[in-house]
Amino acid sequence: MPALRPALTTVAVLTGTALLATACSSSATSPSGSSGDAGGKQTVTFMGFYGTFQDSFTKTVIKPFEKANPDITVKYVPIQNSAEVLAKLRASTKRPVADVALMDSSVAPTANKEKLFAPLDAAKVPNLARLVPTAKSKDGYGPAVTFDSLSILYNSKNVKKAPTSWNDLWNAEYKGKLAMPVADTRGVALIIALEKILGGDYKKDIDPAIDKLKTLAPSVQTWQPSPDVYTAIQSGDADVAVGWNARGQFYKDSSQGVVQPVLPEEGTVTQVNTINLVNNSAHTAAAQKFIDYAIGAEAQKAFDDEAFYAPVNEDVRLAPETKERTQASAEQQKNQIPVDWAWLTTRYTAWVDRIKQEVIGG
Amino acid sequence: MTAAPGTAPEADPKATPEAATAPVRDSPERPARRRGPARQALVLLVPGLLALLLTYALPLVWVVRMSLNESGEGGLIRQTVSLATFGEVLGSSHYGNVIRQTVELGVLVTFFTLVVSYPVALFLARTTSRWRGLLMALAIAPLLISSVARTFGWMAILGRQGVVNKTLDGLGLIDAPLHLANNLTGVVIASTEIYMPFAILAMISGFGRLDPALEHAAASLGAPRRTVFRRIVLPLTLPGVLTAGLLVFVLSLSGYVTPRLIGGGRVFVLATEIYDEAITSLDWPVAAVLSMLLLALFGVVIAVYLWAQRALEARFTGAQEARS
Repeated sequence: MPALRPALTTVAVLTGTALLATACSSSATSPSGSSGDAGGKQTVTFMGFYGTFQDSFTKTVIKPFEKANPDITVKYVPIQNSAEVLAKLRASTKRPVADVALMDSSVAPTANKEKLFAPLDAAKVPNLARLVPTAKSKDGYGPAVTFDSLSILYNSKNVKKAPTSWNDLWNAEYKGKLAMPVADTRGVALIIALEKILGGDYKKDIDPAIDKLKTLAPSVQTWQPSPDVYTAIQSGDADVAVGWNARGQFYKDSSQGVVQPVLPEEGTVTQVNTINLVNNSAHTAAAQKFIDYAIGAEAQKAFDDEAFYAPVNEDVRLAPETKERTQASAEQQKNQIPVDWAWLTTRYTAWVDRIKQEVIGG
Repeated sequence: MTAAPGTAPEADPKATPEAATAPVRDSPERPARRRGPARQALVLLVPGLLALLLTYALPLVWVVRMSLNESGEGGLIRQTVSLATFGEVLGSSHYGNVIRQTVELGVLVTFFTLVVSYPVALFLARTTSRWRGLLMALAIAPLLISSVARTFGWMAILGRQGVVNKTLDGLGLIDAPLHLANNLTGVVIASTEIYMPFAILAMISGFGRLDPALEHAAASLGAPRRTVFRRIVLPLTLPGVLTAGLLVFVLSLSGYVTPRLIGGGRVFVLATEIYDEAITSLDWPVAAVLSMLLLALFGVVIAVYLWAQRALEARFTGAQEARS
């Protein structure tokens, strides 16, 4: 077959071209304006969560920062979750696609270990010294930037007796009307809360919590509300759910009180987002300036008043009516269930698998 | 479909206009000219090959490589070359269930899609109405709307407070809402509707052998309508049904959106599981192994299809030879 040899040549040439093309494409996706740290206008690319988080963060942190630093522009790249950040940074280690990235504290230790993030220079981020102890990073990597907590959400139009305790999830009134998106960090946090109620130690044995959750399975309408748990409660598709407090509070206002988040009386678990300097960033100085601003008292207060996260900076005094609705409330602080997220990183996958296989699939 | 791309143009060199208009050339160029059509075919294939290479072959190589790694704690990836992750997945009863449920869903969806699409396709293929074009357009119009939007539509219809439950409740036929969404039932109903246009299109294009004259002949010889359908129409339309079945089955095996949105987190199929492992559990090697298993499943399905197609063809040609 005479056509075979030219065919092979063509394929070989094509392979070469393709490899070249991929090599070039990685540089094409690196942050724009890579002029280095030396003077001029710089662009810091920031990966943060999508949706209402992006709106609030842009309004209360990025805009004021850009105003105070006219030579720096912050480009917001919205991402779905921390795993997406991890994937994008893994794919661009040499010339990373972001300079600063948010990441859940259950994923961040992995990124630190893989050297996707770089330790911060304390001299360039003076606000590190103003952080509350739980926000500080032990190893010099990115500190906490938001505190949130796991809440029970309910639809105030459909529910007669409002839930106040984690045990209320087993209430007969809610049978068949529960939305439990627990095959992720929310489930991991719920296990820790249940272990506390059941008198167990989550580091030793989570069987009691898993067994308890199994008894909830028949009452669950959906394990994966679409598009998300907050809209499912708002529309009445589900009446009671577990969800993150900050977004729940946001929806409480936007739904005129139909969505009601409850911080349960036994206390709840804190979820931490960290803000990180990406390794090999071309703008380390500007990036750290931005991180410093984001954990500073001014930005923290503005953002938390808007989005109901709890501040990481000890100088912040939230308005009392806001504070009551966040993880920072006196009630919540008293009943805080401590979590070792760095330790949990190593168990996360196993726990989520157990929830999926034994609770949902069981 | 069976001819190799490189050989087809060679079989008929006159097919190129150049060969027809310029028959005489200098002798040194003759060997090149002989290969001309093949080369031309290759040039035509270049954009497609390049796109396939970039978007399919290279990522696939990467996935194969990833499936040979092992996952460490907390989403770390241990670079190695071993089949340990394959062993872990194949030895787990959970993933066994996932594969079983994927195939089960595929079979159910394919069955229902074929059953509801067949009458529509048969009507559209046979009708001589001047509205045929419009009706065809209507049958495939749902493709204009994304399957995400259509799945949300089904959620509004099948949900606890959806149209179906509200109506039945209003008529006093049910005491408690029926569980039509957030489970396998919802996924099957929504997927069936979503894949119908594909099935209808595939069937119509596969109904080429269907000739009204044959039906008339059978009827004129006294065959009742049921016999005409069973002995004439059904066998002649089987190749189209087979192609539609393959298409729907493959689409359903790889379907992510519908099981994800309307499955209520209860419907574990390979596509959703790959996403979860990659995005929630951060277990990339397991996600890669599951992708390889899905690919292997496609291989099996296509092998079965080719075998069934050949068996059908053999029946047709056998019948024709027996007649002549």
